[in-house]
Order: sequence, then structure tokens, then C-alpha cells
Amino acid sequence: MNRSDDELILFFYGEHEAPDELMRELAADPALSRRYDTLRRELSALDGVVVPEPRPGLEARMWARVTPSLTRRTWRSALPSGWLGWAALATAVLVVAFAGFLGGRAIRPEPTESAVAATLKALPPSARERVLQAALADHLDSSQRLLLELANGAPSIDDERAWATTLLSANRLYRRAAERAGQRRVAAVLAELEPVLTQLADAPETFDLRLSKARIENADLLFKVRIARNNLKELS
Amino acid sequence: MEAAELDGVRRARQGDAEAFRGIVATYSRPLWRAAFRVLGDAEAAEDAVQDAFLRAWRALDRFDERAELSTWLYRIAINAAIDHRRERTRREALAGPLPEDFDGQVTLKSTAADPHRQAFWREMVDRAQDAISELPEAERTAILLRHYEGRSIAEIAGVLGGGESSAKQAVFRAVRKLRLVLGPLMETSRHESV
Repeated sequence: MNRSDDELILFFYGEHEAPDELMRELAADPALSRRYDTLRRELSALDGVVVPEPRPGLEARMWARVTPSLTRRTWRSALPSGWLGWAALATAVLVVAFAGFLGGRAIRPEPTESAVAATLKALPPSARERVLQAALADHLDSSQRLLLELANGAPSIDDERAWATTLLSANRLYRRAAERAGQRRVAAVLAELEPVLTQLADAPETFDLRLSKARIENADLLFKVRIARNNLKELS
Repeated sequence: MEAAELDGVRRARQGDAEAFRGIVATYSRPLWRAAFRVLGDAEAAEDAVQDAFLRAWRALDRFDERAELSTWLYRIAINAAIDHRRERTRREALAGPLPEDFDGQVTLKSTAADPHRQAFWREMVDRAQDAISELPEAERTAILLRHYEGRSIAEIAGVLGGGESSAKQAVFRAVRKLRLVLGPLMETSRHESV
């Protein structure tokens, strides 16, 4: 019988309807046997990847990585979390305001932020640095998640717009703080992020999210944000 | 799907993070292996699995309770891994020049027998991974489920949402395309070793 390649594939995967019959044919027909051997060798290339065991503690590590994002689809969670995050945000404002003052430029934070900032003046500089790093890391994490969602085809403009709006104001703040602090790489990444956030924050109902996706891909933005975030991790 | 697992899915759908934690604990390892097969890199596989769980969390409402949670998650993880692989490939293409001796052809440098075979298999594996990444989603899912997970055609049909016949065709098409890529490499190797 003339056997098709599809039948040989089914036989290879143990799904042929009459495997015994085909096996007898393979034994008796050298040409068919050669065809089957070629198929088998070619498919064996798929088995070339040796899968090792993951590093110990994968489950706990994965949960730790996943859990901060499980409730973050509301705009509030895009902000730095906890008092440390708020303190860090305020510190960033403080840094910006202070640098603005030195540079002769008037930067007026919102009253509530400046009020918090005033209470933080007592913090030693090293502590301010740490909270700023923590807040920036939070911001980059949130940004990364938004970019990932856009890259993967976000379901609706509403969520993304609210999220982007919140991130945008924080992004401006951190970009200016980074510029003033001489952190040029971080400032450059945040500067690249800003137009994407602006576009989303201002997007109408009819906005095509694929435009954001293209923009992210063209600028390799997700990768840059990841690198900036990882560099922060190394610093801490 | 087992009753306990179904209960976990339902509670996670309601926003119960602890229930989702159970799902993460159960499936981190198998999904990591699946992602590793696509990416060949342990850290990248973790990134992909993280993305997969986040996608799954957001898409839980769309999960059909008649389906197997494992195959649904597996499919999401494979797609996440493919996305990571594409991103990496694009990044590498932008980042570095091609080797000086690259002429668009497969070159297998034969020094000693063993390194030659190793280089050959490395090339085969790379090509296979690239080829799988380039397959349309249904074919990619079909071949990964069939070849690596040992899922039956009937189970693949359940994941793809079509009948067994279309699942079978997806496997056939995937194998044909992979052979088109891998076959010439095999030929090259055969001629070199003659």
C-alpha cells in the first residue's frame, strides 16, 4: 500500500489507526522504511533541547513576581504602594522642587505633595536616595506591565488610558528628578516612555491600541525599561 | 478538570488571590519547562511564565470550564515564550553585527568529529526553535502539545476549539513546515560526513 507522509506522522506519534499493519509494511518495504527513518530523524531535532531543572524555589519566586500585579488594574495601584512609595514620590517632588529652586526655575508641586515633602526634609540624604530608588523601581515595574499589556494586545482603551494617565504624571516627575540627579540613562528611558503614555492618556474611544504597540516595538521600549529596572535592582 | 481545581479557578475568578496562588504553585514548573523549550534560557523562561500567569489572571473570565486548565495555561505560556523569543531575536538583530564569515548559508565547521556533531545539533535545535516560533498559532500549539506534552489529537482539538480533523491537519501542517526547514540541514550534514 502507498502510505502518505501524514500516515507516517500519525504512526510516529502513536495515533495511527492500524499500527500493526503499518509496522509490517515498514519491515517489508525498504523505501517506506527509509522515508520513515528520515521523518524520525528530522523530528528528533525537536528533542535536542535538554530541559534542566529550574532553580530551587521557582514556585515561591513566581508567586512573589506575580502577586504585586494581581490587583493593579485600578489606577491607584499604578502609583507607588505603601507609605514608602508615597514618601518616595514626595521625595522626588522635593528633589525636583529643590533642584528647580537652585536652577532658578519655578516648579510648584501640588500642595499635598509639598506638605508631605516638607515633613520629609528631616530625612538624611542617604534615606531620601533609597526611597527615591524604591519609588522609581515601582514606577518602572508598573510601566513595564503596561507596556507588556499593550504589546500583548490590551483588551480595552479605558483601563489603559486611566493607567497611563496616572503613570504619566509620575513619569514626568521622575524624569525631571533623574535629569537633575544626573541619571542620564534613566532620564532617557523615561523621556522615551513619555510620548507613549501621553498618547494613551489622551486617546479617544476610537483609538487603535495597535499604534501604541507599534510605537513600543519600534523604540524597543519594553527592553529599555527592563534594563533600567534591572540596573536599579543591581544598585540596591 | 478535578473538582478542587475547578473550585480554585472559580474562586480566583472572584478575585481570590490565594486561590490563584494554588494555581501558580501547581503549574509554575510545567509551564517553566514548556517556556524553556521555546527559549532555551532559564531566566527568560521565568519571565515568560510570569507573563503567562498575569495573562491567565486577566483572562480567567474567558476560561471555559469544560476545558483542561493545564492545556489552557500551557497554551498561554507558549505564546508568552514565543513573544519573549521574538523580542530577543529582534533585539539581537538590532544589537550586533553578523559574524564576519556569515554568508547566509548554513556553515558547519568540522574540526573534530564530536564538536562537529555538537555544532550540527545546536544548529538543528536553533532552527527547530525558530521554525516553531514562526508557525501560525494553531499549528505551533498543536505540535508543541503533541510532540512535547504527548497530548492526543483529541485533547489538542479541545484546546484549539475545533474538531479532531482540524487538530490533525494542524499537526500535519506543522510537521511539514518543520521538515522543510530541518530536511535540508540533515542533507547538508549527510553530504559532509560522506
